[in-house]
Amino acid sequence: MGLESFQKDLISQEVDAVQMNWRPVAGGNPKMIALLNRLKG
Amino acid sequence: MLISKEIKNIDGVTEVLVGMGTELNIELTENLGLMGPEMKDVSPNDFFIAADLDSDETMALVIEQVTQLLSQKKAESGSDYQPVSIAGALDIMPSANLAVVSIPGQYAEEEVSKLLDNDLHVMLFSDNVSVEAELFLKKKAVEKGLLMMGPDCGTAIINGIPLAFANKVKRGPIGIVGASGTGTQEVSALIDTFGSGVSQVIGTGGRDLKSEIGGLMMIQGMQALMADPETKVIVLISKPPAPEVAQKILNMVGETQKPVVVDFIGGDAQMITNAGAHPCSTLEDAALKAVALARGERPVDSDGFTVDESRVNAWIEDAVGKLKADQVNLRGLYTGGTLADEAMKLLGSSIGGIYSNIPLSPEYELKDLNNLSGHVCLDLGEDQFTVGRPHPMIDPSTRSDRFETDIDGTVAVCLIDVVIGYGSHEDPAGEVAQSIKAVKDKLAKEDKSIVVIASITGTEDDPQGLEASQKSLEDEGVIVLPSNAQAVRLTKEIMNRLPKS
Repeated sequence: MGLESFQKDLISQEVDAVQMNWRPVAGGNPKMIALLNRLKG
Repeated sequence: MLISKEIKNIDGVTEVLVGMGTELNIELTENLGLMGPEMKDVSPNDFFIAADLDSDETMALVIEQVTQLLSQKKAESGSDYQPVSIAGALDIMPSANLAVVSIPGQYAEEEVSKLLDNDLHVMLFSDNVSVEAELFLKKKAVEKGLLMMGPDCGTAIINGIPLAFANKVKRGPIGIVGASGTGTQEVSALIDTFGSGVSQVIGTGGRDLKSEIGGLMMIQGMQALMADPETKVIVLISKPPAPEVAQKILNMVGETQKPVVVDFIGGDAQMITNAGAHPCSTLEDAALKAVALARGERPVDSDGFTVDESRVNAWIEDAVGKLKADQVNLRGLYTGGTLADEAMKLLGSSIGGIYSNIPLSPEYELKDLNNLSGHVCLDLGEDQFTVGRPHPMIDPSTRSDRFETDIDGTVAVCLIDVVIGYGSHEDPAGEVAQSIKAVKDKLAKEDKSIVVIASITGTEDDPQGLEASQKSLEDEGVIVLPSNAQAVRLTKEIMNRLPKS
């Protein structure tokens, strides 16, 4: 989750590693995140 | 970040930032002086280019290149599906047992909590994670018998696999738990150099041994190594812990028959001896003692050189001979904070006060990072040097810039670390060699030369290769020692022969 180079280094050593396409919830918009947390909470 | 770097190379571009309109990227845009009125309309769903350049034509070129690079990126990763959720990732790889997390710190707690819920060990590279979050995550991990290495954990070697910034080290009977990234890299690489190997190298993150966290991961890691049949010797590495945390950890030494080597860098050696463990004076000393113990030999205090005495003397005489009378200053330019710290601790007060951005005492805090004077030793991986740019181990240009600005005719010795291995730039030694050449050419105009002393943290099995890296440096006249400790010792010998600054 995050820097792709870490996953690429593992693949180059023939270690199975899945790279996630991680994005912050709601595109990182703090107002949206706060709202979503209130909904969950 | 990488696209920004590529675009910066276009003629006519002074500075540029390319990315999504997240708060972080807007902040970076501000910090780089690239803000414009249009930026206030940019939302996290917008992709933007902010640039300081010389003409509209250059901007057109920039837009063209960015478009090209973006479609290239898509094409490359098009073949491997990248899942967007943890559940999705586990669908693809149900056997996954570890996650490496390097997302912005404010999002890390929630994601790591989910990963632990799914019974994965976690290596948390992210920093800017709160103490409360760290405590919550580590308690959860301990409860579940999982590792939560971090936050701010850059180095681990699990089952022989280097993770993030780590070296390819031979397998062997020495297990390490380390709170410091480059410190752990130095010890593990030297264990390989001295002919032994590692079972597991567990990171804990830089804050683990503060009283708020109580050493939770170091204790967890140590227990794991105590129970591990492949581990015969245990090594603990950290800056001096909070005293009650140090005591808690040292109390565990009595619970195992395995010899324990403890490097609480610069910390209380007596406390360690009293606990039945082996204290160390340097990271190299920790490695040497661990290797001796692994061989069933008595560990000895190391203090000197593993290089032939005649070579050391020749280096000293040559250096003292060629430096001019007004060349009296030391410039330490480090990419690894622990190595910079070790250098300053070893030099002590022998050459006089050393200014730094991570000073040993507050009166030597560098107020002005430009216009350096006196002895200076910098940790170029620290926050003030990495705003909007990658860490100098990944991108040597930060240090290249400092070679230009920090080395003048008053400098006698330039002391550096060169960290190779996974995570590092593809040829750190080559980049450093180029910078050294430029510095030497500049000083030659003043009819001066300079002494550059380096150590390489890494192994022959690293992608860059220890020997090849050493050759690159030596071809540029750099004196390469086998460890940071020895590089610092040579520096001390030479500096002490010069007139006082």
